[in-house]
Amino acid sequence: MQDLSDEELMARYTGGDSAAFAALFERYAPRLAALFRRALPRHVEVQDLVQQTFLQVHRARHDYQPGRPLRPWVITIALNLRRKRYRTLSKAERELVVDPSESGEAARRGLERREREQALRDALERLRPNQREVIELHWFEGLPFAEVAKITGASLSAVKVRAHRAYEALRGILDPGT
Amino acid sequence: MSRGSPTCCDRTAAALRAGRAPAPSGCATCQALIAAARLAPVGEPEAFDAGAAFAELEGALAAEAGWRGRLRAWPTWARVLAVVLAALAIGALNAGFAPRPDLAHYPWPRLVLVLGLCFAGVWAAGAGALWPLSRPELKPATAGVLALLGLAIPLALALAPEAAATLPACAPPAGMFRQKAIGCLVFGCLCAVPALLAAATFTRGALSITDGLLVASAGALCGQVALQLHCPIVGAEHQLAGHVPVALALNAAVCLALLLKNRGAR
Repeated sequence: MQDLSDEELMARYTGGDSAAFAALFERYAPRLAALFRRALPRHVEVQDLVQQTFLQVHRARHDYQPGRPLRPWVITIALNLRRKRYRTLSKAERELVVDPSESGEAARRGLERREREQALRDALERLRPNQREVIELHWFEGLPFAEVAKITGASLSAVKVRAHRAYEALRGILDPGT
Repeated sequence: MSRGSPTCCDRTAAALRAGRAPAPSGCATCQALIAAARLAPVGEPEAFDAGAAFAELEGALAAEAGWRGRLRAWPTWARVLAVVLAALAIGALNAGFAPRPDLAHYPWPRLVLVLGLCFAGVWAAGAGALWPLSRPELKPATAGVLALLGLAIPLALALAPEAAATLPACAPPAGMFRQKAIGCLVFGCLCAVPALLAAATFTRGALSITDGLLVASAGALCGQVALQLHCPIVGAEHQLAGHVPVALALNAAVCLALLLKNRGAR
């Protein structure tokens, strides 16, 4: 399974090979978890959202067109689920919730990491939603602009303009001195 | 530049993500990307217990083996077609078993146009209600327009010039305006049920209020198909009082049901 591409795994899965689905889950779950963590508060059950994403992949498997890139297709599902989940949060729930169960050195490292993540999350939060999505997909997910355009439903030129403005804005927020 | 070929910004992002120095570029977006990337490194994803998560998911996948799981796994075009077919079945039943008494005299081009408009509305609202998560989200304006179709089409039909009233049945009997209007309202709501059920069966996740309004819109237009084939009263007053409120009643019912369901889920 390791040698197969995502698209080949999906083709096997739609053909009835459930091991291919497990392989896809193993491949995508950590990245999807990061995608959810970047925009949702820590108390939101990321594992639940990753599972929901794959449940939707399962339900939509006959919508997938063989040969088309799988990654933008899965990420579109994840982003749509993330938007829906975000809309259900109250303003108070959107604030950071630090996990009180950690202690000592692990807690300090965890806190530093969370502070960095929170600073980035706050910066992304201050961007327009369509700019934030472009940065997430282009920079954090490493997708080319053409695929970002397909996922967001915008034209390639619109995505490039959004990206330019978003990167400039992100730099301005994270480093106001520049 | 073709849509599929990587741009200079794509190459810059790939180099930065791989820890390589990007190729010099005069592109303003590349410059902004390089500056922002230093401040917002990608980093390794946090640990995620994929094994445990997949074990839980397998339980949910097993539940998908039932009839409902199989139905909602149909391709989206087939799911939308099922909603349209539900409306078609309601139309056929009305035309076959309870047709309007003036059907033989009613102008056929107008009937075809009216039914075509209703079926197109069912298809559009159904497509909005069953919009797959694997496609970019519907714009709020588009979803709003689709949700309003259930109200706008009957309203336009009611306000359009009246079709020729060729039979006594084309006007409500004196003193029975309210009864006839309520009768049509109830009949339209009942005839909307198959489309509502089809949309609810084929949806792949929990319905939001917007989804619910889209489902109600498809249902209202299904009810409208039945009313157009069943009710001979062509007056605008009757249609405004009995046909148009079908959409309002369904919107209210669907919203109330979703609110109660969401409250129960908390």
